[in-house]
Amino acid sequence: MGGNTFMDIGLGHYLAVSAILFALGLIVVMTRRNAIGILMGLELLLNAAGINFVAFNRFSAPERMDGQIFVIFIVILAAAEAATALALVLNIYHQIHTANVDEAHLLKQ
Amino acid sequence: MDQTPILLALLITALPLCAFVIQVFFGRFLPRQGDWLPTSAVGAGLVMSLYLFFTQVLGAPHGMEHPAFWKMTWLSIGETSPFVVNFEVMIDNLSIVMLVVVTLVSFLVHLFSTGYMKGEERYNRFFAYLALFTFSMLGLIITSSMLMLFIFWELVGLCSYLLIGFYFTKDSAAAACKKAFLTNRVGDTGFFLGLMMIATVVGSFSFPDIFDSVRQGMWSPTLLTIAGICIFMGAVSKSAQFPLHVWLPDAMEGPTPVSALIHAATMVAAGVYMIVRMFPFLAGWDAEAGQSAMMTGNYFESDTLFLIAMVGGFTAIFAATIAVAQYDIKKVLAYSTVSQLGYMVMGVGVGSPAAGMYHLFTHAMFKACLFLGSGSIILAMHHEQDMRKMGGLRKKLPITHITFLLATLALSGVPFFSGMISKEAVLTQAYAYWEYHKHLSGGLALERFLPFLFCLVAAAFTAFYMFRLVIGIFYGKPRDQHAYDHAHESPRTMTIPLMVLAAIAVIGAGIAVPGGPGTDWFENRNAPEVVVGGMMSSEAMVPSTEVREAWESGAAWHDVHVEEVPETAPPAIKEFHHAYHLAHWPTFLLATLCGILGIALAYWIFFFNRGKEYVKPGGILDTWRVWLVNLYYVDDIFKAVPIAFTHWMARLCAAIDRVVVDSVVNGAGILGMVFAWVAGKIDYWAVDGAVRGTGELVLAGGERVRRIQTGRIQDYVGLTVFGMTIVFVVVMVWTNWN
Amino acid sequence: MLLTLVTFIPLIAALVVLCIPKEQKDIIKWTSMGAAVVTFIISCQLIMGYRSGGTDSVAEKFDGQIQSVIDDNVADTALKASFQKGVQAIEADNVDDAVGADRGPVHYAEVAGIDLKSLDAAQSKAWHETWELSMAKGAAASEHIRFVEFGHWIDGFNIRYFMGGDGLSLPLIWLTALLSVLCLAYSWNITKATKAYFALFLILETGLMGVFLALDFFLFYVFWEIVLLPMYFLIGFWGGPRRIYASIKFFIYTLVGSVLMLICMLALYFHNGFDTFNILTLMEAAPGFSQTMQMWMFFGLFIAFAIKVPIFPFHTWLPDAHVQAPTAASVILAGVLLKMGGYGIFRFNLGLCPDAMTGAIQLPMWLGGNFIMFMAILGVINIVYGALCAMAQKDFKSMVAYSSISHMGYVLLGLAAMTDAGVQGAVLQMFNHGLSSAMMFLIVGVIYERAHHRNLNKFGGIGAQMPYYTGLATIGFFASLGLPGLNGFISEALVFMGAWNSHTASPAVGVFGLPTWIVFLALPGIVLTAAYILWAVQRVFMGPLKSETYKTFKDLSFREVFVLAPLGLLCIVFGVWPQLILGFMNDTLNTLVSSVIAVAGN
Repeated sequence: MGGNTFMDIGLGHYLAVSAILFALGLIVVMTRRNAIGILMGLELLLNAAGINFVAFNRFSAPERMDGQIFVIFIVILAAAEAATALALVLNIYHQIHTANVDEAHLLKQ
Repeated sequence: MDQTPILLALLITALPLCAFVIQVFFGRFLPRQGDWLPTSAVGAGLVMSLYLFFTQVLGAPHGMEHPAFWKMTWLSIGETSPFVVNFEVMIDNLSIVMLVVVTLVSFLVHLFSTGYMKGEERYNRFFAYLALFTFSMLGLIITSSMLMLFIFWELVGLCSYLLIGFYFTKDSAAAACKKAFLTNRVGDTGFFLGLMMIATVVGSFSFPDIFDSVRQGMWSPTLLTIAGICIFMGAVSKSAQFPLHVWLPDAMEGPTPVSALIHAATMVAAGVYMIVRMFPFLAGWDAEAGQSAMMTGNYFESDTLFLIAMVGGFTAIFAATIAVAQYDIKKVLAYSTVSQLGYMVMGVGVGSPAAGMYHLFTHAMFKACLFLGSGSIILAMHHEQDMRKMGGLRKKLPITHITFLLATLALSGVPFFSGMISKEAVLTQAYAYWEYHKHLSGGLALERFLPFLFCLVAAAFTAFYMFRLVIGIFYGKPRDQHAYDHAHESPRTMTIPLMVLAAIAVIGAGIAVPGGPGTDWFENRNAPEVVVGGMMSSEAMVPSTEVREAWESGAAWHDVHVEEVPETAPPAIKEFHHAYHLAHWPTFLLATLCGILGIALAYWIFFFNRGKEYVKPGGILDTWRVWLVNLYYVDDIFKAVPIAFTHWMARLCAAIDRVVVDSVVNGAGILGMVFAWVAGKIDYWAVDGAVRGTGELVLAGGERVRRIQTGRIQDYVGLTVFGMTIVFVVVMVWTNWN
Repeated sequence: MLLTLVTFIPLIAALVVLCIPKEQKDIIKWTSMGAAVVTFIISCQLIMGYRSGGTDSVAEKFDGQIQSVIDDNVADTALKASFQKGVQAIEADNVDDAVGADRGPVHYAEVAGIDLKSLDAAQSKAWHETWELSMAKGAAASEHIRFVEFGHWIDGFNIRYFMGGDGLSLPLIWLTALLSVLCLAYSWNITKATKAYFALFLILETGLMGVFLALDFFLFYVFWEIVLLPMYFLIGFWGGPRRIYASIKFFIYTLVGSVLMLICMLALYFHNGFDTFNILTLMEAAPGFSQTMQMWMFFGLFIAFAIKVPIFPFHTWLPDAHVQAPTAASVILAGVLLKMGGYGIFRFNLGLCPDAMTGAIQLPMWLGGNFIMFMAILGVINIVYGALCAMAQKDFKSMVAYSSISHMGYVLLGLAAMTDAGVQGAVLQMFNHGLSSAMMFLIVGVIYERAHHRNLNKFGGIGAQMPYYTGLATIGFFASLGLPGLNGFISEALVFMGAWNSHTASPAVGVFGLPTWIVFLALPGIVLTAAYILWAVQRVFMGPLKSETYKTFKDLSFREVFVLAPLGLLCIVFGVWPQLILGFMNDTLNTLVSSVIAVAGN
C-alpha cells in the first residue's frame, strides 16, 4: 500500500460509520413495533459501539489491545443478551400472543 | 327629774307592740280570736295616759313646766365628728294630750270593732294591724327626734296601707291602698329632703338642736324657707292637703273603724302634729329684726307659714264644696275630714299652732264619733253606704242618731259644742293675721285675707253638707222600706264608744262660748310659748346654759298669746293683740251665723222642700255639680299627667335597655362572631389554601408527569436518548463556555 | 387558719360530692348542706372574733412573719441589721399616710444601706418579701384587718397566698355563708343532675369566699375567675328557655371585665419595680402613684367591677342572667356576686387610686369632670333608670332584677359622696340588698314553682290563697322599698344624707363635694321604687283570683319557710338595730375614707 493521501481512511471515517450505525440502530429501536426487530436494532447499537472502540484503539493507542478485547466482550455480551432477550420475548409472546411492543404496556401508570 | 312620764310613755307605746307580735302569730288560737288582747293593751295605755293627763297636764295651770326627756344612741357613724342618731323620748303637755287622744280613740275603735267586724274573715289579723298602728302612732308622738318621727311616720303609712287594703280581694281596695302609700311617699320625699337639709345644717335631728340652730342664724333665710316647705310637704301628703289629698277619699275602702281611727282622728292628724312641733322652724327668720321669728314673736311674716295657711285654707274650701255633692256617707265624711284638716293646717299657718292643735283635738273626738256612727248605720243597713237609700232612721237607731247629731253640731261650730271653740280660735287668729298685715302694708292685704275668707265660707258649707247628711239619713221618710224594716240599733260594744265620743264632743272644750269656763285649758298648756319654752329651758334637753338663757331672754315671743301685753313688747305684737281681742266676739258671731246659715239652708232644701230640684240642668249649679262629682278632675289629672308620664318613661327606658343598650352588647357579640367567621374564612382560604394549594399543585404535577410512564419501552428509550442529548449538549456548552 | 377553712371547706366538700355516686341523691344533698352549715358557723365565729380582737395581734403576726423571713434567709448579722433598718424606715413612712415619694424596694434598700447587687437569690427574695410585708403591715393595721394568713404559692412571681378579713369583707363573708346555706336548702328538689348542681354550688361558694378574703391580687383574680365557671353552668344547664344565650352573655361580659382587671394587675406589678401582687402593699404605696397611672388604673378596674355591680351601661347581662337562671342561682347571683363588684370598687378603686377618689384628676366634661361626678352620675342613672325599667317589666323576676340594678345605684352614689355617712350607707346598702333581694328572688321562685309562669298581669289574688307566703313577701318587698323599721331604709337614708352633706363637708377636707342637684335627681328613685313594688304586690297578691288553678296552690312548705323566715327576721333585726352592722364596719370604712382625705391635702 504506500502513500495513498487522498481518502486516507482515518479515525473520523470510522467514527462516522459508527455514528451512522448508532443512529440507525437507535431509530430501529425507537420505531419498530416488533420486539424481534427491536432486538436487531439493539445489535446494531452494540456493534456501532464496538466499531467505535476498535477505531479508537487503532488510531489513539495502537500498541494496546484494550479496545479490541472490549469488542470481544461486547460481542459475547450481545450474544448472551440476545439469547436472554429472545427468551423474554418468547415468554411475553405466550402471554399477550403478539410480538407488538405497543401491546406490552402493563407497566403503564 | 321625774322619769315616771317617760316610763309610762314607753310602756304605753310598748304594750300595743307586744300585743301586735302575739296577735299576729297566735291570734288565731286565742279565745275570741284574740280581740281582747290589743283592746286591753290599748285600754291599759289609755288608763296610763289619762293618769298622766290628769296629774301632769290638768294638775297645773300651764301643765308640765319642763318636758321629761330620755335618749339612747341608736346609730353612730364616723370617728372624728360622728354622725349620731338618737332614739329620743320627750313627754310634755302636747305629747300627753296626743297620747290621750290616740289611746282613747284607738281603744274606742277597738271596742267598736269587736261589734262591727264580728264574723269577718281575718278578724284576728284586723286587730293585729290596729295594734301595730297604735304602736306606730304612739311612737310618733313620744319622740323628739325628727328622724325617729319620720320612721314612725312611714310605719303609720304602712299600717294605713295594710288596713285600707284589708279587703284586698277587691280590686278597688287594692288600688286604694297602693294609692295611699304612693301619695304619701311623694310627700315623704319632700319631707326627707327637708330632713337632709336639717342634717347638714344642724348636724342633729333633735328638736332643741333644730330650734336653736334657727336662733343662732345657722340657716340662710332662703334655705330655711325651702327646708320649711320641704318639711311641710310631708304634712301635705299625710294630712291630705291639696293636691295630695286624693288618697283619703279612696281610703274609705277600708273598714269603717279604720276610717275612724286612722283617717279621721290620728294618722292624718300626724301631719298637723308634726308642723305644730316644728313651728319654731317654720316660723322662720325675721329679717327686719335680724333674729329668728321665734324670738321676736313675729310669726306672721314667715313665707313658709303663709304658704301653709294658703294651702290649708284652700283645702278647707275645696274639700267642703266636693262634700256637698257626695252620696256615699263615708265619702262625705272623708271630704269633711280633708276640709277640717285644712282648718288645722291653716291655724298653724296664721301663727297659732295651739289653735290648730285644739281643733285637732276636738275634731278627733267628733269625727271619730261621726265615722263610728256611720259604721253603725252601715251595719244596720246591711252594708249600704249610699244615703239615697236611707231616711227616717232616727226612730230605728236612737243612740246612733243622738250621738251623730251631737257630733254634727260640734262639727258645724254651733255654740255650746266643742267644735265652736276650736274653730273660733282658728278664725280669730286668721282675722288678726289679716289685720296685722293690713297694718303692716297700709293697704287691704287681700292675699292675707284669703285664709280667713276660705275658712269662713267653708264653715258655712260644712254645716250645709253635714246637715244634708243628717237629714238624709235620719229624717223624712225611708227610701228603701225593706232595708228600713231590717234596721236595728247596734250592740253595746258599738254604742258605748259613740256615747263617750259624743260626750267629749260636747264638753271637750269646756262650756263652749267665748270666754266660757274651761275653754282655755288647751291653749294655756299648748301655746308655743309653753311648749317650746318648756323644751328650750329644760336642762335635760338643752345642756348648754347659755342656750337656755338665750331662749329665756328672748322675751318677745313669750308675749304673743298672753292676755296683757307689756309695754316693752314690739309694736307688731301689740297690734296683733289688739286685733285679736277685738276679733273674738265678731268672729264668734260671724262663724255662728255661717253655721246657722248652712243649717238653715240644708233644712230648707232637704227637709221642707224635699224632692224639689234646685239644680236646673244646663245651669251654673249643674256645671258645678258635674265638677264636684268628678272631684274637680284632680284624680284624672294625676292619672293623665304624672302617672301616665311615668309609665311612658318606664316603657321608654325598658325599650332603650332592650333595643339600644343591649344592641350594643349583642352587636359586640355579633361583631365577635363576624370576626370569627372572617378569620375562619381567611384561615380556610388563605392560610390553609396555601397548604392545600401546594398539595394540589403536587398532585396535578404528578398527574401530568405520570403520563410519561406509558409502559412502552420504546418511549423510555426515546426519553433516555433525549435526556442524554440534553446532558451532552449542556456539558459541552458548559465546559467550552469561553 | 379560719380563713382558709372558710374558703376551702366548700371545695373539699365539692370534691367529696363528686366522688359520691349520682344515685345517692340524699347523701349528696346532706353532705353539701353539712359543709355549708359548717362554713356558716365558722363565719359566725369570724364575726364574733372580729369584734373582740384588736389590731395589735395582727401587727404581731406581721412582725413574726417578717422576722421569720429575715431569719430564714439572712445569716449574716450585719445584713440582718440592715434589713431591720429597712423595716423600721418603712414603718416610719407607713405612719405618715400621704408620703408621695418612691416607696419601692429599691429605694428602701438604699435607705437601709443594702447593696442589692451583692445579695444572692434567696436574700434578694427575702428583701423583697420583707419590704412587701412591712408595707402591708401599715395598711393592715389602719384598715383594722384582724385575721391574716400568710403562705407562699408561686414564688417566682411573688404570688403569695395572703388572706385577710376586715370590717368590709367579713359581713360579706357572713352573708355569703348564710345565703349558701339557704340556697342549698332551697335547691333540695333539683332532680336533674343533682350531683353536678351541688358540686358546682360548693365550688362557687369557695370562689366567693376567696374573692372577699384574698389580699393578693393574683389570688383575688384566680378566685374571681373561679366564680365565673360554676355560674355559667348553673345558668346554662339548669336555667330557663334562653339559658344558653344568658349564660354565654354573662360569662363573656364578665370575662371582658376580668381582662381589664388583669391588665391593671400586671401594670401594678411592673410599676416602678415593685414586682408585687400584694394588695395591702400597693395600697400603702398608692399615694405615690402618678395621676396618669391612677386615672387609667381607675378606669380599668372600675369598668371591670362596674360590669359586676352592675352599672349602666354595662348592666344588660343582669336581666337575662337572672331571669334564665334557676332560683337558687339567682339568689346567690343577686345576693353575693353583685357585691363582688361593689367590694372590688371599695377595696381597689378606693384603696389604689386615692387621687382619683378626691376628685383631683380631671376628666373631660362629658364624663363628669372628675371621677367623683362620674361615679355619682352613673349611680343616679342606675337608681332612676333601673327603677323605670323595673316598672315596665311584665316578668316578675325581670322586675326584681332591674330593682337590683336600681338598688346598687345607691352604693355608687354613697361612695361618690366620700363622707362618713355616705360611704357607710353604701356598704350597708350592699349588705342589706343582699338580704332583701335574696328574699325577693326566693319569693318569685316560690310562686313560679306553683304557677309555672311569672307574668305579673296574669297573677291575682294570691294573698287570699297563701297568707303566710304573703306575709313574708310583704316583709321582703317593703324592705326593698325602704320602709323604716326594715333594713333597706337606713342604708338609703344614710346614702342620701351623705350625698347631700357632701357639698359642704367634703370641700372642707379637700375632697370634691357632690353638688346638690345630684341628690335631687336621685330623689325620684324613692317614689319610683315604691311605685313599681307596690304595683307588683297589687297585681300578684291582691284582687280577686285571676285563675282557677290558683285555688290549688298550697301555702309555704317547711323548706320554703326555712329559707324565707330567717331572711325576713334579719331584715327586721337589721332595720331596727342597724348599729349591729354599722358598728362593725365603722373602723375599716373610716380608715378608707380618711386615707383618701389624707391624700387630698397634697
